[in-house]
Amino acid sequence: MEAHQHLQQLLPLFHHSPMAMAEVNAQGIIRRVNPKAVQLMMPMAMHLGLPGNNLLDTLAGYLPSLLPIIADFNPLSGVIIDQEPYIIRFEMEKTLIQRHFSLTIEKIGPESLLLFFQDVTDFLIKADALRERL
Amino acid sequence: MESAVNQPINFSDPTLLDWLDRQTDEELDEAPFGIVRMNREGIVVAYCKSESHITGITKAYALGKYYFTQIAPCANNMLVAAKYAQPELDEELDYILTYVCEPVRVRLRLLKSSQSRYQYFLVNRKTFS
Repeated sequence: MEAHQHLQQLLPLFHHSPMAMAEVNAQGIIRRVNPKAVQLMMPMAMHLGLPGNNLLDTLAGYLPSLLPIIADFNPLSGVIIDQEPYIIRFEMEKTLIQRHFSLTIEKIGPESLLLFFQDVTDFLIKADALRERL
Repeated sequence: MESAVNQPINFSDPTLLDWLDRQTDEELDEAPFGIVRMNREGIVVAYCKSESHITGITKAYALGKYYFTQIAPCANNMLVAAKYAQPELDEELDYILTYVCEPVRVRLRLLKSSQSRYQYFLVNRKTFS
């Protein structure tokens, strides 16, 4: 199988992944993004009144410490944040939304960041139930 | 007599739902914006050309599939998909769509009425400012 055919066959994994994935530039502007990332990001962006094309701005609206952590990371590449847990709270249409997230950020070049994030709220509920049964 | 489909229709026209309901699946192809016609269960019954141009998904692939889980999971959230649980819906919002396509900024209009046997997901392409 040729490399490009193999890449084509990898696309469904990217499109159907339950993990949100995005590549952004150093300013946070989205270059590539999978559907899960848009699904999770847009309610957060809309709550902040942001258009949603800048993922770092959107996440920093809930995690103000994020931008300094990225700015202070000097190596040209490497993992900046590894499965960092955080909680996002916001109100939408009079409903209080509280979701637990896990965030990983990897720098792959001076102008390129990969972000992987996941809503782990349901996982935590199931893990708690499992612990209670033990 | 001039066909109703040849008359220009505005994305934000308050009578758009009635207009959409009068069009055949083929006539929807002539609209200047993307149109997904779904049945009340959210299964795609018509997927117009403009929508296909925006998303890169072909009509043949889209027809018969659950729209928000199989075609547009990026819109399967409280902002968009969950709104269709309401009996009446007419809402516009800015959004980003992605699937086969590059991330593209769009204006969405979500339409549903108890008077219609269909519900609609409409897409107007925007340019990033």
